Amino acid sequence: MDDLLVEFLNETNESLEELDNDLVRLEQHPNDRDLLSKIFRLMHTIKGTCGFLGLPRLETVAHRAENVLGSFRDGVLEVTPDYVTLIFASIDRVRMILQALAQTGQEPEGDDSELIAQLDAVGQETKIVKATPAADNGTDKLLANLPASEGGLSADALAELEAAFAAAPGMDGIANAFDVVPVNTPALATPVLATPALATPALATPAPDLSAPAIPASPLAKNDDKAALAAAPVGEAHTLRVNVDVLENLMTMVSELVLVRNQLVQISRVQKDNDFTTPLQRLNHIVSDLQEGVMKTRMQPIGNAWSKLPRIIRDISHELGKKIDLVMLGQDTELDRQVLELIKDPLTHMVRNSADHGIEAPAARISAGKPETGTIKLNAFHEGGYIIIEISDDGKGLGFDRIRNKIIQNGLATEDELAAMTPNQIYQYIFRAGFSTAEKITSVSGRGVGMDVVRTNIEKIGGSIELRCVEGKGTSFFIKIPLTLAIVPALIIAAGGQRYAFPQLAVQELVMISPTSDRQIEIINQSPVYRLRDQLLPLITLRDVLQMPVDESKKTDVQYLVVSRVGAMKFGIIVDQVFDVEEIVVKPVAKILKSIELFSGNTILGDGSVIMILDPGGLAREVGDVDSTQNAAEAETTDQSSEERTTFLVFNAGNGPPLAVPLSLVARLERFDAHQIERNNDQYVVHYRGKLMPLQPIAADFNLRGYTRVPVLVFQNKDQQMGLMVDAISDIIEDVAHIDVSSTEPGIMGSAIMQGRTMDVIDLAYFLERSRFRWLDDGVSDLDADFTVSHSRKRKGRILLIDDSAFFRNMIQPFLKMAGYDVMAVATPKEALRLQDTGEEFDLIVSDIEMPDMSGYELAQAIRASHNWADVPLLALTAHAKPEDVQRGIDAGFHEYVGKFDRDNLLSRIANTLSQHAPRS
Amino acid sequence: MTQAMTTALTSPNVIDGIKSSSSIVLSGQTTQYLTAKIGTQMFGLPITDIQDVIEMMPLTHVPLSPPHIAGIMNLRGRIVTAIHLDRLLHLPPAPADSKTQSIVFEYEGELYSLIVHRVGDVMALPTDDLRDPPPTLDDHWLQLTNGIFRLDGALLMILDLRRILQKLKPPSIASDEAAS
Repeated sequence: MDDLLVEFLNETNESLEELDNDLVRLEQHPNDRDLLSKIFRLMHTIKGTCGFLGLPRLETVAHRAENVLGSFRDGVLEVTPDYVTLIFASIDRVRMILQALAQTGQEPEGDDSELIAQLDAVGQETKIVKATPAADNGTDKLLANLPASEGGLSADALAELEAAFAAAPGMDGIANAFDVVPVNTPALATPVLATPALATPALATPAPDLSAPAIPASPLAKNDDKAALAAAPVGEAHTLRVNVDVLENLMTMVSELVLVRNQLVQISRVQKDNDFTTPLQRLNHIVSDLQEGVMKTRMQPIGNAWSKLPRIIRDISHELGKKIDLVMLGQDTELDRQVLELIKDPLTHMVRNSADHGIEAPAARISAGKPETGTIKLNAFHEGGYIIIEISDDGKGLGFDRIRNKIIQNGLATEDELAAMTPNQIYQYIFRAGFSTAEKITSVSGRGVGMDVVRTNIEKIGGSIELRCVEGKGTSFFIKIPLTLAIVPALIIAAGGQRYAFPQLAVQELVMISPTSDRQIEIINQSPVYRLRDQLLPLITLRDVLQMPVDESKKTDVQYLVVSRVGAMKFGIIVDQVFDVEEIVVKPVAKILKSIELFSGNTILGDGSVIMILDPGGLAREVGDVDSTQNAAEAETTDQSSEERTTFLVFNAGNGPPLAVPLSLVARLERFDAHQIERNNDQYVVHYRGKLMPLQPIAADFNLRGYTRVPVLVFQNKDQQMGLMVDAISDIIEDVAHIDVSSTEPGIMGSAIMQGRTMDVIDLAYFLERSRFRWLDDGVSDLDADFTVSHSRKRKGRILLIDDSAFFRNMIQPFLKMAGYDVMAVATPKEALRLQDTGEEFDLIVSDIEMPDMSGYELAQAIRASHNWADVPLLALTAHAKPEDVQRGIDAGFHEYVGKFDRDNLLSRIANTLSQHAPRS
Repeated sequence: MTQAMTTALTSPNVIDGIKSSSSIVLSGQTTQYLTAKIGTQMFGLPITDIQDVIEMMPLTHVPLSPPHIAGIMNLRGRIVTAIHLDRLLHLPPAPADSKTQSIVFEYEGELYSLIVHRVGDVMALPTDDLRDPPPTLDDHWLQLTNGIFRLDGALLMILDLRRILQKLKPPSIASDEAAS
């Protein structure tokens, strides 16, 4: 194809994209003169260039569209959506013709007469409005004769000029010279028109005849230059078009250079103090700069991927009768063009989805109490080596019930399974294949391409996508993608005596577990899990997954846990060793190894060794294989049912049945040598972590003499510690705690049947109390100064605790009491409201959410509406606090949300809430 | 090597009809083969397919890979996948203390190496002497060979690298290729 034509296609495609966006803006600001002029110039340039290249069909369409734009600019025609739609139709036609041109090098056959008739009809209206004498001479003349701004006028003059050129024979040479592109021109034309300086006067000569006699040649020439340059982005004078292949090649070479550099650095590290150290350091810096520089050449602002969106949103809102604002933030955020190309389509798809399914029609929005105009927000920003793209709308949400129905309809899960899932887990189903919830297929979306394709595309480039949704409030998607694909940061780890690279993107945190760590890996139903803060993390052992032998020589007591996240799946990988994070160049694995799903590539490290790159997605599937049903229930401890599962530590003491205590209350498990334990007036104490810790025996007939080492459960509340001496720690189990609270035995709260075994659940409050009084009685003041003070002072405040579970009432109450509060606990919201009626006064109310008869939300509303308690601060206590729950709670009247197992947090929240709401004296 | 190839291509096929099983014919239509041994069995590979012969280097084991995959290694900045030829052919392994060698070749843009017990001479053999392998040959071998040469007191089995890799590819891809 002709070079000139290729250049034209490139430039025109850019112009068209600009035009799309400018027109959308114009529609919003019809009086923006500058914008109008710019649009006119863009269209004009397209038309002009077509003329030169001999593309009559394209030229006609562009010309007529330009006429209408001219009328806008001259103020004879008002900018209305209908007219803008017409211009858009013209642009689309131009685009269509361009596509055919790019494919065949020829203008396609076709008839534009209908479009042209429409455009002309608009032109006619103009004439009637204006009724100038020149009306019968066609719009061009009309425009040329209209008094207008200087720039516009000369542009019109230019239009005439070009028309004349196009019509005149043998003008191709001039046309080419006009673009300052040296080509084989007829010998006659070339010498005269070879330089722009010469060309300008020559071109200007006919100008006076045609339009503006008063305008000297030089301003015309200037405008002429401007028109020719208009297709190039404004303000980028010093740019150069470079073939993408050249850049790719450069990148590959830099990648290799990085590898060599890494190797050299490694060698130099081994042989310290040699002559190479200094130059190597410089090389190191230069290579880093070079890498950065080359990366920069591949970087493009993400706005490039968004450029089509304003037009798409405009079309959707017109077609569906919606009002939608598109807010774009961080357009300048740059990322690798390869990545950009790959996310372009998923992004467009998601924005289209938001506009089509998310944002409601104006009437529905108003009745939902929202502003008539919906907003779709795009936000891009850098975070670490990644770029985060947020796509959010304030529409109606994803439609929880519809998704549920669809899941059941498509047989993806059963009712029972769904009942056990959190809303967030259910929403994740939209990423499954063939899952489209659009009720009717519109022309806008619902084309069978769903979010599954979006997710696949994003994960393909090592990214991840998350979603948050509040029904009726809106939906947000968060996409996290690496800045570049060629060189990625990876964590180097070892398992079974060999090293592997693990992409840093999937790493959330690292945990080291030594025998003395507070928390250990637990085995639940033969699967290892780790309790990370309030989450139960399913674990896999990398060595086992890879079927590597145990490396006995390197075996240590310390285990490392790589906490990773793939989509909504969070899991831990047990590895033998953790090394540095290294920038690695990803190389694909050989075809004969492709079938091993656990690897996504291989790479050469700085020391020259080759290692495999682990695929986080593949490992996540391994977790699923371990025991999929169990993980579904345990991956999140946030079980929606009111049957709250609790993890208990099971131990033995004395001759009775096994004893249990909620694991979350236990700070640590320790073992003390019997001779370390001292006896001080009936009270056992041990030196522990620089302090004296009081110890309580569980069994009444406890005698230290029978032991060499004593297992101790350590309980901690801020600086205070207390240990319970037991005979043996036997197990950790998770089950619903149905505790029969009927025990009369001191220290035992009641008995429960868990996992088929009967066990007594201890009343921790009893032991804490006993221990506390001993502390006071024995005057071990250095142990418990804080407590003594708080106890001697008057109570910090009066708290009402509402929880239907006797178990939790009995667990939380003592903690609050220990912290110095006066606590009253009731089992139901109704009881609480009765207290209100009797005129009881509290400084703070702490309530559970899920309760039979009346939920915490309803209680909160009732309290807010009440006479006496309307101003009492309310704290919600729950086992699962998701953002949407928090919002619901706050809407109902709660001030704070706090996790049931989060004792320290509970105390600090209480203190905060009380200090904010002035306590009554 | 280039010299030999040129000779082979340009010299007319004058010694047509002369077939010798006792000596190597150096003129006429010949192909050069690199010979290698697994135990006592000799194999030949067309020398034009081969990029490099190297001493064994440290290998990185690829977990979960089939047993005939020895691992991956770094050959001057490129990653090479090494294959145990003895395991592929169901032959006994080399003695533990022996030094094995590796024959490197490129296939579909990727580098592979065949680990053999010992690399031997390069032989130029008349193309016409290449015989179909006896149908009684072990099935593993039949799938990987192009034919055999009868040499003095030995059989030289010619390996087909393409077929070796086709066989090693995961089933799904292999069947796709077979269909096309």
